[in-house]
Amino acid sequence: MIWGQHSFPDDTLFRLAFGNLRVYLYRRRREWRWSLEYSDIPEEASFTEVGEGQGASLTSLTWQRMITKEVSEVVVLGPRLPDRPLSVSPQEQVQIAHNVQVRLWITLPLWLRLSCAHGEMVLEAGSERLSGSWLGDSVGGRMAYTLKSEPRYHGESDPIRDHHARCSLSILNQAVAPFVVSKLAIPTELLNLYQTKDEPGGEMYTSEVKLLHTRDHEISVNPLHHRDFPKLAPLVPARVRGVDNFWKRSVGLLKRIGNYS
Amino acid sequence: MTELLELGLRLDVVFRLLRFLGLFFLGILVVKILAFVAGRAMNKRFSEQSIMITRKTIFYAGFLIVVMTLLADLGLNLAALLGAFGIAGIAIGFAAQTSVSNVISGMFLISEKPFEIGDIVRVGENTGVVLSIDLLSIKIRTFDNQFLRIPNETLIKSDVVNITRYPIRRVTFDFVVEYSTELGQLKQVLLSLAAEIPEVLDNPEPLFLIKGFGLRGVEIVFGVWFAKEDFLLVRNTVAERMKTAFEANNIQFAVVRWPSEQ
Repeated sequence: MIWGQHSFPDDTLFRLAFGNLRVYLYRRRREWRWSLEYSDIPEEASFTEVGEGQGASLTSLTWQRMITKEVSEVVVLGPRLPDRPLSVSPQEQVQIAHNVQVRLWITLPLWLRLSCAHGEMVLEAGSERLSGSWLGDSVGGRMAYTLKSEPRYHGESDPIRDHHARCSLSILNQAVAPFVVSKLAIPTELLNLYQTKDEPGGEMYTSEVKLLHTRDHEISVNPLHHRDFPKLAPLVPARVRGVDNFWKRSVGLLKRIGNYS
Repeated sequence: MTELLELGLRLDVVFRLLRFLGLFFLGILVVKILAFVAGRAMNKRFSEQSIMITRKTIFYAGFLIVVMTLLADLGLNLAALLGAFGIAGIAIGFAAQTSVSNVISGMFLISEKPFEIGDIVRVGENTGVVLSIDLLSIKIRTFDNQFLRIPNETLIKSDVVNITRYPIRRVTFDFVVEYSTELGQLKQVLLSLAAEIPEVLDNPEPLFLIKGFGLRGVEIVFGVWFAKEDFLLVRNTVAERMKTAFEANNIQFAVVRWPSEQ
């Protein structure tokens, strides 16, 4: 597993693989240079030094530069959830009858956060390249990412990779009419990220998302702590925190989204 | 004795003039600081346009107060002066109808808020970024870096397109393909290429429209949605990939053939 601190000496080129993402990284004192690429084939997470022979073949890369405040001899790698909601469209529509609660599982792609020793962020990038999407009407809506991931009825039914996190959704339909789930918006910025085992290879989970569908298409979301791991401290707290903030944002978000059904 | 009196009078005039100038510049400095502080206090909570209007209002009101106070300090009869200004105002008003019209139009523009500073607008054939919205005119920087001043009266009378009002936009490609083109394949090719560009939004979905059957071939409209800041990237990428995909799938754009070439 790549999370944590890694030695990162001056003038040495490193290659970072994380899902479909490849990052080439280089530092000279406070100046960082990196180049991002996305491959069609996901790769096991790794952070390795690039040899001289390999480095010569990287001349075609487009480099970005950044000056940090601190001179950091180490690089800190950490997981993050995407910074925008994810819009998931099930290939097969899920219908939920009156007063029935359904639990679905969705695999979310993790992001990578790369920072200096004292936390100064250098870059964040997704393990998969996600398409943009728009949730809600053209004025009051917001940007999101489209996720091509099928909701499943069981959390353990797919071999999860190290660049994914599992998200559990509980949907309770309190309306009389059946609730047709044709699109789901996962408010990832409101979710904590957990690691089930405090060891390399421990699986990643997000907070559980609860959706309550009532009459007149009122939907409320409650990204609760995970019911299966109630005492687990978050590995990474949600990007948006605070009770007031949470309620304002979640209620506002859902009013605007209107895309859950 | 007379010389001494004259010298005293001269010194008094110089002293009063210096006092007037000193107080004037001090007053203007205070007003400018006040306007600056008000602008800073509004920063982040109000739009750039509101901040600019507030700063200008404070500055002009403060300027007027400073000048009136100093004139009163000099011993001028302000009532007579204002009366004279009133009479002169009528004469100037007749002579400055256009300016007055611009000012009134400016007030409508400010209250209506069809655009704000930083928006990209199209007025007639001109497109650019709004630099400032003033009482008489708005200032625009065009994309070829020219400074454009448009009188407010013109704006009120014209169609103004605010290109960046909404967070997402659509770019539309109108083109004609040969009649031999398989339209199902064409639609598939276009939707696939749109799906491969991350900046193209999946929702709202891309638009594929068979506009009609023209003289040259089948008229197609293809539009994709994107976040407004990605305009250039999306427009160029879609056009580039369309050309590549058409060549790969043997889809021919219908070209205008002049009689001599047929």
